[in-house]
Amino acid sequence: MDKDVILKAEHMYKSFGVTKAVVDFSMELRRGEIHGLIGENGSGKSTFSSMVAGLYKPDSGKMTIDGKEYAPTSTEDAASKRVALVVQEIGTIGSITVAANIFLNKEKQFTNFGMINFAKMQSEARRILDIIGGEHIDPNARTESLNLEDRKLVEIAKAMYCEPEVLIIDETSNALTTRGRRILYQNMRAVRENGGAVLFITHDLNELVQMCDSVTIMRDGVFVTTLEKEDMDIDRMKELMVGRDIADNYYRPDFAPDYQDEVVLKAEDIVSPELHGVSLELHKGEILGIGGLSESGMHELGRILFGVDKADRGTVTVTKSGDHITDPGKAIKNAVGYMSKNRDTEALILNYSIRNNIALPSYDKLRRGGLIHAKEEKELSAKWTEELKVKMRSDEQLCSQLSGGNKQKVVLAKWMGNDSQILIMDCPTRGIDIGVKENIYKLMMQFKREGRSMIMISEELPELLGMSDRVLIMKDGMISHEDMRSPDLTEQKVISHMI
Amino acid sequence: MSGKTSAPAAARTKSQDAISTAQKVKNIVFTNFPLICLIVIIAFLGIVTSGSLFSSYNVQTILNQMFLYVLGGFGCLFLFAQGGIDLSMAANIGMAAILGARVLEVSIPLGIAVTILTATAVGVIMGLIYAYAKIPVFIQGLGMNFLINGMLYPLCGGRATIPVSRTLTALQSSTTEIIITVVALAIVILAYNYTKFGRECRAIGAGEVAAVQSGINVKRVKTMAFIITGLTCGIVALLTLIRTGSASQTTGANFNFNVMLSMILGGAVMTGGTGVKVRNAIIGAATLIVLQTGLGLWGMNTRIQEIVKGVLFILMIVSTTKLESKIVK
Repeated sequence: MDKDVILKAEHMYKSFGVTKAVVDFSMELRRGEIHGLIGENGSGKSTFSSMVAGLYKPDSGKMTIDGKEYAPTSTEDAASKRVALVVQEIGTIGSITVAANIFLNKEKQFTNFGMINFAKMQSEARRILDIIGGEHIDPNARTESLNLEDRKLVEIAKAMYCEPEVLIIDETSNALTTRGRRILYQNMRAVRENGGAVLFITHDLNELVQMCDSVTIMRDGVFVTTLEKEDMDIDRMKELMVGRDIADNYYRPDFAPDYQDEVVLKAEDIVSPELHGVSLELHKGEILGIGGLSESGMHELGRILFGVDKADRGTVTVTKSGDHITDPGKAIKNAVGYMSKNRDTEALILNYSIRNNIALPSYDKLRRGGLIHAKEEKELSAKWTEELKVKMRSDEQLCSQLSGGNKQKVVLAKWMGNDSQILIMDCPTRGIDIGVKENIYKLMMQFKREGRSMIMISEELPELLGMSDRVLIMKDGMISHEDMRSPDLTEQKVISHMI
Repeated sequence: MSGKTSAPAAARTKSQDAISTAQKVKNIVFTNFPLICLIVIIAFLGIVTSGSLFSSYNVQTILNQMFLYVLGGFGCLFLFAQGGIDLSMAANIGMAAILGARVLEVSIPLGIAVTILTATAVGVIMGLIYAYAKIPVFIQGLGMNFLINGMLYPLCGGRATIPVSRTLTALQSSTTEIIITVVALAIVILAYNYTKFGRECRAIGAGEVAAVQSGINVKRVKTMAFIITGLTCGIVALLTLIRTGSASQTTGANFNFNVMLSMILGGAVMTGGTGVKVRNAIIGAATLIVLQTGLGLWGMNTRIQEIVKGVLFILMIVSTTKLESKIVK
């Protein structure tokens, strides 16, 4: 046996109801390595890592750490064996302090005669935050007052506090800015240098190649292969993940802006706490890209354009009707749709069937004399799930059972079912695997040809430049730059306007 | 909660796999669990009372007692679907009945209007608080219940009971009540399952944020749901006056809790959404009244009956929440 192996998982199985998430999966993690774990959405990465971290109990299979049997019963149990996980979703509690989150379930060490010594807890939190690179975070702050990135850093602090020998990072980096990523990488390297191992789950293959010493690929819950550093080739990994060839460039092939003169949506001098005078015009058949750092105000702009949030000043007008958008209902009446970046909580009702989700904005159209026509509702759902090729058993299935990419297709189906002419998409491909991503880009081009207009807010520069007719870059709540589609528009050129 | 439900983030590639026959059987059992419980309870009580539960007199009594709870359940359905509840119903019915009875002494049409409108007005106030103040709906209901309860004594004007005219009580008949129930059932099935409003109520219970972003006017729908429970209180108050021939401070007492109890026994999910169905109101009221009548016939002490009801109530809440997640579509 290789004595460098720290964690060994053999023949792991896990099912959820009828869904087989992980099937006969085995892998090894060696000391002193950062090991990537990749696969499409729904390939079983998160399920596997959750079993390692003690969140799920495997149906069968065996894990060992340094040759000793390892069967964690909870995350606390895993932490005591120095295995820590930073989850994909938000893993901190908003209503308590940063320090309380870091030491959640570990308060005992700070108690004297049953009372928690908060001063001691705080200074300990201060120490650990300084170590991991979160010097700017106040351990006494309420966690919900932090931005998403700092909340992630708190989770990293919590994970690093148990001095992990096995650290699992589950798709955390796409919530982070460049600075946040640097801090994350620094901690991953620290674990490696101390002789531990990092299991790194990411969708960003460039990041993967840069950080990892080896990578394991999963598909449909099954082990595909493990590649060593020298064999890590992006195209090859994509193929292995999807199980077929992926076109090298899945963005649109043309390199010139192409849209009509007609303005369909207009925002004038929008002012809000995050925005300081933003105006824009969207044209018929245009894909308007909006890029920037996540705190640039671009996400807030998307919400205001659809009427989810109200601007303090300024108007959003649909040119055709002259209506001002003041709330989502008004937007929908004017054939405007919005895909929130928070797919699971805002764009979809997870505990609702696919059919119900698709019909939600279209009830007015499905009514015949006051009553909803059940047959038409069914047809609407059938038409769009077929058109968008939603992978499902039936449209009565709950959306919570679908993978990220399929959920996003349901969101698209919902707005297409309502015949939206203007679509505001906030991070439309966030956390979605390559196969579905390619699919969504193709659909965007189809919508464009049909004369629909889109606003694509994205933190991913390649897709922003790859898909947009026109790009607006935002910084500090204002539009700092505008560029037309052209072959010489490069990432370097726009990045300078973001920071 | 939503963070946890999204947990098996992996795995869904197999979501197109066919459902096994075993799972299909489970689905049927789990979806109809409250009905199965009701049948078991009826069978059990039928046996221990040597069939006297099924005598025409007892069946008549059971249907008779179910009547108002079924109507009450129908009225609460829209609010329940949103994950809301109206705990002010009892006091609201009391006030509407007392005010109505006093005006009925002067004029019958005016008295009927006052009964219905008073209760509806309380519904409007409750609805506006619910939609705009965003305080926990339980507290809001309890508060309003206390507030109105405190007014009942002065409203009675020092009288213990306020009788209503014979013209009104003469209207009472089982046939009318059955007709009312059937008509109400038809209206509720259509309104709950096939109108935009009914769908919107469920969408709010299942995911309010997503409902807002789908263009649902949440404030309007929330207010409407409370107006419906208010209107229902008015109708229940009027029917109680017709049945009992008088109003007093105890008119409608505990109605809110009994309706809640019967909705839960009928399998309604407290958080709202698709787990709330029209049949919950009927199955639940039947379970509650059959239990009450059957246990009485069996000779069980009323205190012990309370304990049995309490145990069943908790068991039903636990099982509806647990079983709901095991249904695979």
